[in-house]
Amino acid sequence: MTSKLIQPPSMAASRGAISRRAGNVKVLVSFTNSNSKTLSFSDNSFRLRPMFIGKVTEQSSASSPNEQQEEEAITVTQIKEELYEALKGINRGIFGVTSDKKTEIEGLVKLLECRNPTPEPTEELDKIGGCWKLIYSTITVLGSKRTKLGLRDFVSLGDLLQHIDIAQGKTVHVLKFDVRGLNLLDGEFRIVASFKISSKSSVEITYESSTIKPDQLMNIFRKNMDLLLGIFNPEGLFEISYLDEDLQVGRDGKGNVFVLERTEKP
Amino acid sequence: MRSVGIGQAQTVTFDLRQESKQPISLVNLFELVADDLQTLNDNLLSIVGAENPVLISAAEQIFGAGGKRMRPGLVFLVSHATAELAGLKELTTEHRRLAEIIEMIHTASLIHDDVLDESDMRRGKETVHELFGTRVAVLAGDFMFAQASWYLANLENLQVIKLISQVIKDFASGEIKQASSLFDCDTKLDDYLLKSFYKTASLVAASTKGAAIFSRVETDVTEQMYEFGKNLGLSFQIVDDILDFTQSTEQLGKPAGSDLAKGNLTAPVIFALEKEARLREIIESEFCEAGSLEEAIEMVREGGGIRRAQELAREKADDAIKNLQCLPRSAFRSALEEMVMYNLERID
Repeated sequence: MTSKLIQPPSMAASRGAISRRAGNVKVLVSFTNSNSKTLSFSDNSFRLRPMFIGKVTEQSSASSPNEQQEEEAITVTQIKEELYEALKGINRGIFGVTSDKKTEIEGLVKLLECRNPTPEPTEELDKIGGCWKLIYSTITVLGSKRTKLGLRDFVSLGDLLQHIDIAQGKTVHVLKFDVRGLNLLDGEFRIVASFKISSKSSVEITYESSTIKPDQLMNIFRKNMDLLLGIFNPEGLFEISYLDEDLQVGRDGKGNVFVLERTEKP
Repeated sequence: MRSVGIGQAQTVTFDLRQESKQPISLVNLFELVADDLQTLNDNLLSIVGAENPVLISAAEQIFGAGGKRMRPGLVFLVSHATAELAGLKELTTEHRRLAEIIEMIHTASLIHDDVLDESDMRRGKETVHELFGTRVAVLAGDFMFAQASWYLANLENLQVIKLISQVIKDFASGEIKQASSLFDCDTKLDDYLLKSFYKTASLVAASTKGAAIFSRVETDVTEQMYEFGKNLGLSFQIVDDILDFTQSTEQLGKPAGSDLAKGNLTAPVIFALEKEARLREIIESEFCEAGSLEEAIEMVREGGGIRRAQELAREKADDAIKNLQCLPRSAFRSALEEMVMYNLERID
């Protein structure tokens, strides 16, 4: 189930076109421009050639307009469904995924970003305030780092949460840990940071402080605080590239992607 | 050796090594101490089985299978070889007990290792925990460690008690050291040698020194026997680690490169990492990409990792042979030298 989104240079400027995977025949069904208006293929003033994902069949370049009109328009809901499906079983990507899987997810994320209903999120900050849970990230904890943090047998990683407080201009990142054998079910690593609006779609995050609870966990991680911060510190530029009522996609200045879903405050 | 043929300027080469040599077999080596080993086998079964019917079955499973009895074999060979120096005619009860203790400790560690590694086969038979469950396996291992300690204390030789107790401690240190350096590409050769000492060579060294102590020989001989055991043990471990890369899955009885897959970086990998930066990347990614483990194994082979590890194994083997020079020449000393060569033959 790999998908490669092929984009001709002209599309980069208009922020994307999307295709629906439908068996072996790929068909361009609609595209949105930056005004978020949905246009149908026949309105394509850019005179695009059809785009294809995955296998290409011989007839595709000569597919008839009738076939295309019969295809349903893909919705954000459907993209999100495919995304959730693709994210199953990979533990948020933190302990490594194949590059095929990464590409598949990146493709779906880009599809979403083209259909962002909130292209200027910093003008509507109330839409982003509250509690979010990480469901995918390109940040990984692998190799010697993973061994040193005990994340192989001794410590297991629970939810990674983000609390955004608009009034205070703060974002608090909470990493939940389970330390097996010590019955410490509510261990957490908490990073407090503040943010300032940087542009219509991005913020500048500044690290303020971090703590580990409870104390016993602090003993285990004391030596590795730097390692933890090095991996999870949110400081820097953060662009919110997709935002709706229950899903957020963001990119930091280091090329990482984050996908978060809204969650109830625990 | 070369000699020039008569007549034309022809060079004829004689290779004296070409006489066909039988590969050394442990069975042949241990012919000399076959009776000692038979008695050992019988004693072990009765020691472990006596407590409990479940343990009898577990004991039969682990002792009945084709274990090489390499460690007790070494104890007996060193006992005989050093006994001559002290004018001893026969092996003492202490010698025999020592060999039993060593084999119990070794076996207990194997049973526990199999639980930790979740292995279902050993020596072509099911592992103890596979047949009887984890509880029995943990208890059987604990029982054997405890029994070994009890027999050890009853030998009433403080030097040997300290020597062997150190080994049990070293086993644990070795496991911990290994677990805390998984996938750590900054592992140095010294770290690897220390870990290999804790896990393997420590027991062999304690066995050979213990045997010499019970023969009542001079201190410098017991020290040489310690070094012999240590160098042989290290050479043995290095060869095992090489074979993990060079043998096929069928020969190994488990997938090739399984050490590497788990992040356990051994001598061939450590050497190869000095040359190949890309190998470091692949290891750090924990082989999440399909085919990356195979790629890494190939890089270890190409990067001279195997070759340099072989040299290291030979170096330790040479040191071991030197350590034997304090012993009088005898069939037993020759057998010990053959043991060193047997080990190296596995990677020729």
